Amino acid sequence: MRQWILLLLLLIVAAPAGAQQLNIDFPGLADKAVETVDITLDGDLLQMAAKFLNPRDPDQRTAHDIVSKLQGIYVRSYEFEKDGEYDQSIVARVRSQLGPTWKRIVMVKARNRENTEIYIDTRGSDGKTVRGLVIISAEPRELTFVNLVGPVDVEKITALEGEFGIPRFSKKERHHDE
Amino acid sequence: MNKRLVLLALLIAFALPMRADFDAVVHEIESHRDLHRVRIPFIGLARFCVWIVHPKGVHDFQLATFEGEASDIDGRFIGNLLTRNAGQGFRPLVRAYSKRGKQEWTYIYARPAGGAFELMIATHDSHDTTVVRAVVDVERLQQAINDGHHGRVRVMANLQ
Repeated sequence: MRQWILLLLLLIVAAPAGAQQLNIDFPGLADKAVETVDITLDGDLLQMAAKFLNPRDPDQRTAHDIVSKLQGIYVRSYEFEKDGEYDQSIVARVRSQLGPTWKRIVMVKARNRENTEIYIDTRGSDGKTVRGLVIISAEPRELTFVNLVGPVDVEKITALEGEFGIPRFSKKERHHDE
Repeated sequence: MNKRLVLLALLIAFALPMRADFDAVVHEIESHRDLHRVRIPFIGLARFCVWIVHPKGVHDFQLATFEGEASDIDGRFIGNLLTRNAGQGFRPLVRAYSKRGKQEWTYIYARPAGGAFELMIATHDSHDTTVVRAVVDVERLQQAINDGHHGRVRVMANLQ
């Protein structure tokens, strides 16, 4: 009995410290979209990917540092034929999963254009590393969710732009791409 | 002599399950009434060359292409096909769908394979179905994930 209580206590204490994976799967959304991309990189595959990124190679070092600590990379991207074809409340449903420890660090709003929000999970944060990250990019014809689960160094996060299916979200990089 | 036989038996024991995954996927597609396999000449030779040279981080590959219109094949069908047959440890990595012009699905399942990654890729559109099994290094895996955004053409072009 005592063991069960101990286990229960352990779970209660441990749970808030664990990284949060959000539900970013909305099956009905994929039916309306003309293009969908669903990327799931976690578990053994992510650990293997981290092992093979060479920490001595300057191009791979930062990505290696980030990926080796992560527990999961989840990307869901939907493109639609017409403006406003998706239910805007879906964005609110993702936001509603973010508890009080989540803080918005970026919000770019442009009327009738792209809205981008970046949230970080600040649980146990030392001001440099966060517990998780969510990017919501909502355009009239495109909707993208990115969820990084696990410790993330926010200063280094741009190293993952364009890698492992994570879209480029900084304007400078995007212009460079075009 | 005995040692050679044991070695051969071991090689077959290890090699066959790897092939069986790909063969099982191919066999199930072959059994579809509307699809027929298109044989590619010298594919065995190409595979042998890949084994030796490892071009662009690809260590091994198998390829099967099919022609025919199968309207009952969709993302769910391909997902189930790979989940059932790809083999132990394979997990969905990229699932991409496009209905611009024609409907097109690209599914990539992956598993760690020793010091590399084993990918099972299935693409399907209204006329063609392709299955590729490839053993690749991390750079190639990363490229396959990034190319998932751009549909089957880039994924297949880069892996073949």
